[in-house]
Amino acid sequence: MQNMNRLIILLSTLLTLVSCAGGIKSNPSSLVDTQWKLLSINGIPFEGKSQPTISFNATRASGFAGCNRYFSNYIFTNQGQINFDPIARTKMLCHKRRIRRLERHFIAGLRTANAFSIYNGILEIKGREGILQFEQ
Amino acid sequence: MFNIAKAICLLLCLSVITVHAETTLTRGDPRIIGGEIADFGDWPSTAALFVTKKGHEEGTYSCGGALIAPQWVLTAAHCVKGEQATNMFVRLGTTDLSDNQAGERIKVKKIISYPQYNEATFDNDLALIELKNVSKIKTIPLFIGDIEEGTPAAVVGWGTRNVNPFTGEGFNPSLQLYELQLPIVGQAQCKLIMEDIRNMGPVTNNMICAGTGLGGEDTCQGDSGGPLMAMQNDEIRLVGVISWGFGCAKPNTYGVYTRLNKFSKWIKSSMEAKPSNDSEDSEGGAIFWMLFPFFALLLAYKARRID
Repeated sequence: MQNMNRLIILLSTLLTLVSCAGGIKSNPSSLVDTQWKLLSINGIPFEGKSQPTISFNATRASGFAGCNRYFSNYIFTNQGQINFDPIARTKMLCHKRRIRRLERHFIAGLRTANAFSIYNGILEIKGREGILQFEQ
Repeated sequence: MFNIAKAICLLLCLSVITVHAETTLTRGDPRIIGGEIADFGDWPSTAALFVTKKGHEEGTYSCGGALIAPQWVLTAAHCVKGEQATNMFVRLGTTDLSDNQAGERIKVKKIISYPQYNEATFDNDLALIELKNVSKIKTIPLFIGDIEEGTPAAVVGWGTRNVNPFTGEGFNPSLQLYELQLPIVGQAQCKLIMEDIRNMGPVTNNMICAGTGLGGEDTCQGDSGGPLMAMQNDEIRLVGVISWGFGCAKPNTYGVYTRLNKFSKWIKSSMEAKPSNDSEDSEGGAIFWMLFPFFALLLAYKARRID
């Protein structure tokens, strides 16, 4: 009976650990072949039509920055660490100041990013210029 | 020991000079990032693309283009992505966008993006715009064959004229057309710099690069879709379409353009394809035939009353 109790405790501990690990993902493979839409920049929710996006394949991130399109060959430097620099962009004119600012903050957020995590379906990219949050 | 100290001093001095040179070349150079105001008539086939809000006459400038046939403008696919023909018009025959009356203003009839345009790699970044009316402006022919490395080329555009030295981002768009001369860069050299050193790309065979690599001279935001031109057989011809880059006018990068000689067959066949029906005309025709029985009955009724 005592052995049975020990086994139950061990199993439940294992189960808890596994479920916690499943909550926050920061391994490179969790990003590959995913597409995301910007939710917020530094906690300020995105509102409007020109919603920035990001898509990942095995080596490259690309998407829409609000006005121009961009791409970057991203690298994982360690578990949960990511680097997007340099970022190439098309050369359209962004007339609205709000969109220009959005694109500038978005690109700066990616360019200076150094970590990412996925939790509860939210991708968070963090770096010197702040936090970008995305949903699928 | 003294020699090592001298060498270190020399290296430090060189690095300071290099950093200074990079910042002075890119910081706030008050032109299209190099270049000068274009004279009226020098680049007649240059087009300005405008996007309007539904139901509005006025539009906002978004991209450049080139008139390659009286009813056709060539531009970048990313310039027309998501746009509807009915919400676009093109201005031709002017270098000054502040003068709303100058030159021609023609509505867009149809947009044809290159079917294999890849928005993740910017490969095949090309689109044709069919105009509703024929333009009277001089058209530009396409460059035939491959252009040699080092050939002087010209780019023109209404794009931003200043660069933020920290972000490499352009600001302060121009209402005057600016022109800039840049050499064509060999494919191997461009791949070396952009792919191997800058870790960007791929620079595909459908792309062509131009620039000095020194910084300070480049196209920038607002120049997309505009022409890259060079002389061939004593006339100015269209070599490429302004597409993408890493910031603007940064040292050790080049501007990347759509290489048009790879698309000459598609361009020709698209323009020669059966003309599209004007959507407004088709709608008008449909409404007429729907209402025809009503009008016929009305006329018959009136005729009987007169009798």
